[in-house]
Amino acid sequence: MPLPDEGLIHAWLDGQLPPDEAARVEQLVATDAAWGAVAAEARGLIAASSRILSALDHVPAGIVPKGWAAPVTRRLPWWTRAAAAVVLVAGGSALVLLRTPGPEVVVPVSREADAAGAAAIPSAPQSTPQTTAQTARQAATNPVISAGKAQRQLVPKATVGVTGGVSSDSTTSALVPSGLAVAPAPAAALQAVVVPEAQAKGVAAADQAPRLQQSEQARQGAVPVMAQRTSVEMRRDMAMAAAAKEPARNFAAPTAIDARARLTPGRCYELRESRTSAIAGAVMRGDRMQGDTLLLVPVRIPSPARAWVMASDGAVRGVLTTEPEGRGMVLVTASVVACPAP
Amino acid sequence: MPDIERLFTTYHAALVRYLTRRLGDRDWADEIAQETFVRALRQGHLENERAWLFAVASNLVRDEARKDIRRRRHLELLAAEWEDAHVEAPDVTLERALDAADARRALDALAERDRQALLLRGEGLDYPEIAEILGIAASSVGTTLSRARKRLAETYEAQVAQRAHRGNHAAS
Repeated sequence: MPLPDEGLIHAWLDGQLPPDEAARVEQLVATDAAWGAVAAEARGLIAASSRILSALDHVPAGIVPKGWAAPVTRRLPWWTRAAAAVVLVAGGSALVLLRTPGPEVVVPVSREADAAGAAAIPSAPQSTPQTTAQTARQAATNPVISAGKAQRQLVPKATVGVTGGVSSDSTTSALVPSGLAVAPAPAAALQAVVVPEAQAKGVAAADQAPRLQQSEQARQGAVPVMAQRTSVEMRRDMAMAAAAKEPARNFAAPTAIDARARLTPGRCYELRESRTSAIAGAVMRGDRMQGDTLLLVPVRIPSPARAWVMASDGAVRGVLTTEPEGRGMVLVTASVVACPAP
Repeated sequence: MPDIERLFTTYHAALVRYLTRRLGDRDWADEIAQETFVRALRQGHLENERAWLFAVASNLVRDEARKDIRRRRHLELLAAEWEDAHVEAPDVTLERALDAADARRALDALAERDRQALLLRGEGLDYPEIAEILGIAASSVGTTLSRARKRLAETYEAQVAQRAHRGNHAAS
C-alpha cells in the first residue's frame, strides 16, 4: 500500500482526477485506514476553509465613496453670489442695528463703500484666513480700519465679532481683538459687527460654543477626508498603472480621434442600449479617466449605477451596470448631451 | 469581441467575491472587476474566458500590491472610517467583525501562491485553470491546496482559541 498522498486526496475530493485515477483513490480510501483518515481530515479541511473564506464576504460596500463618485461642486453665477453677499451683509447690519442700543453702532462711511465691500466678498477666493494677533492689535489701537475701498468707522473700545470667514484679499480685512475666536471657515461671507463691549462679550460667548463644535467636527472629519483623498489617489494610480501596461494603441484614424475627444470628465452623456437603441437610464456625467476608459456616474447621487465607456470604432461604447452586484448590465453607446439641471 | 454581457452575467459575481476576499475592500474589488471586464471588452477572442478574467484580475491586484505601503495606509484609514460610519446591532457587528478578522489573519498568514490557489478554487476554478493562472503544474495544485487548507484552518482555530482565552481572562 502506498502512503497517503494528501494532494491526491484533495484533488479526488475536488473532483479533479480523471476517472481511472479517481477510482483508484476511492478504492484506497475505502480499504486502507490511513488513506481513510487522511480523506476524512481533508473533507473537514475543505469544509472548514470554505466556511472561513465565506466569513471574508462580510465586507461592506460604500466605505470609500462618500462623494468620490461625483464630487461635483456647483458654482452659482457671480451675480447670484454677489446678491447673496449683499443680502447677507444687509441682514447682518440690520441685526446689529436692532440689537445695538445707543450711538456705539458702526456705520458705513458711504453706501458705495459698503457695496464695494460686499461686492468684494463673492470674488474673494477661498483663501486661508490670515487674521492674526497683529491685526487684532491694530483693531484695538486703530479706530479706523481700512478694508480696501470699503472703510468702516469703529467706535473706540468697541469689540469686533466676526462670523462666517475672513479673506486675505486686499479689498477686505477682518479684525479681531485678542481673545475672541475666529471660525476658520471659507470666506463665503464676511460680517463685521461692532457692538458695545458688554453686549459683545455675551454674543462672543454664545458664538464660541458652535464654533468650538464646528472646529471639533472639522477635526474629526479629517480622517474621512484623508481616506477619501487617499482612495482617489489610489484609484488614479491604479488606472495609470493599468494604462501604462497597455500596449500602444493606434488612434490615428480620424474616427477614433473624434470618439476619444468626446471622452471628457465633467461632460454629460446619454446612454442607449447598443442592441435596441433604447435610452438606458438617466443621463450620466463623466467622472474620471481610467486609462483610456471614462467612468460615468449618475448625475443625481446616490445611485449604484456606473458605466465605463471608451472610444471604439469611432463611437463611444461601453458597459452600464445599474445595481451594486453588477446585475442588469447592458452594452451601451454614449453620446454627449447637455447636463441636466440638478 | 467577446459577448461581454454573457461574460459579465456569468463571472462578475464570482470575480467580485474573489477580489473582495483577496483585498478586503468591496469597492476596490468592484473597480478591479470592472477594469477586468473593460479589458475583456476590447480583447478579441478569449480562449479560456474564466481563466483569462481571473488572471487579468489577479495581475491588476498584483500591480496594486507593489504599492503595498500606500495600500496598507489606505486600508487602515478605510477601516477607521468604516468603524465610524457603520452601525449595526452590536452583537451582529461584533460577531461578524471578530469572525472576519480571524479569517483575514488566517488568510494573510498563507503564502501568496497558497492564498491565491485557495481563493481561486473557492470560486470554482478547476485545477488546470488554477495552474495556468499561478504558472504551476496542474499536478501540484492538489498539494498546494491541501497545504493551504490545513494552514488556514489551523491558523484560524488558533485565532479563535486565543480570542476565547482572552475573553475568559477578561471575564475573570
